[in-house]
Amino acid sequence: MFKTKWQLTLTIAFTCLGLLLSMQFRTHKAMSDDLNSQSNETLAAIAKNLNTKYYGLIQEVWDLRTQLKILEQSADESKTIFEAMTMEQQKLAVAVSSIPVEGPGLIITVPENDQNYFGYQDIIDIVNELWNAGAEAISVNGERVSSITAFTPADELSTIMLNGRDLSYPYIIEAIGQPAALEKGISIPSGIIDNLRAVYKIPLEIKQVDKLSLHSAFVPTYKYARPVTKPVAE
Amino acid sequence: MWLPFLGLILGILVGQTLTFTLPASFAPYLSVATLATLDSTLGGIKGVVLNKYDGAILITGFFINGSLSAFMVLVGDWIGADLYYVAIFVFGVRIFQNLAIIRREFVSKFMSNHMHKNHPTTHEVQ
Repeated sequence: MFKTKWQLTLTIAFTCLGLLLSMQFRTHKAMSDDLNSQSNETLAAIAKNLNTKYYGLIQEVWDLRTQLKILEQSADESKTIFEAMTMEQQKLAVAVSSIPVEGPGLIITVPENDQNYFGYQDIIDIVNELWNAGAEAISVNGERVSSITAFTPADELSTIMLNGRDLSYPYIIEAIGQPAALEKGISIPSGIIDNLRAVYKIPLEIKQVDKLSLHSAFVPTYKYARPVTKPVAE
Repeated sequence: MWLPFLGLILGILVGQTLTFTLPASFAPYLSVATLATLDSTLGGIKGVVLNKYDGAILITGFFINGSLSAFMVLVGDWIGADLYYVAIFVFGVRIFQNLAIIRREFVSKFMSNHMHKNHPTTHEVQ
């Protein structure tokens, strides 16, 4: 009985003592952190430290500003490069027919006829003549002619395949370029159009238009052809 | 036996978990109060060791000594007498005295137990 009694009161006292001790510990810490209770030497050291830090930070601000300027300049440069690259890419995309294009041009229509033979070789000739005349993009029956386009005869010689797809009458050849120049280019006397009209009696129609829209062509992914980076030694 | 020490640890933990901090200007009063209560609890332990323990004296001494000492230091500040150092000196001396008595009691108890158990002859010789 006596034992529990002294344990109880002593425990209360010890708990309060612990509370006080830790509070005192924290208050003392707060006081030693407080500038008011520091000695002059410590304050002077702190002030000196802060001064050094201040000048260091000013220096850093200047360094960072210079760096920012340099980075802005290089960003401008890379922006210009990026624009140039984008233009180049567009140009190349038009050249390999991987994007749709539009512009003025010429439409050559070959209407249905049973009497006279009109084969794949004639289409190739017309397309070649159009390239010669300065066409920038050509499509045949809505199929864009690209660097890998092939015109082949089908089983019956009268039908034409383009990229493995059967073409049928009427054949419509659309070419983007300067319309007058294109027409002049393909209609030279005894040229392909002249021959077809006069000799083979094909009733071709040629029409200049202000606006033509051509689809993009299928562009394969190149697995084997690699660009040559170093000039090949002779 | 260990209950008071558990209480001490509990109090310290509670004090650490409390988020508020007293202003730094309270530090002298709180330190004197802490010393006074430390003195009281050591006096309590001394009482237990000497078999003269009285719970009422301990509790009253604990709280009244603690608050009075802080108050006296405050009064000293008011009237321009620096009682802070006086209080620290007095309580410091009392704390070390209490500690010495507790140590002596413990040592003599331990020694007598030890010698009775293991070396009864040595004790007789002394």
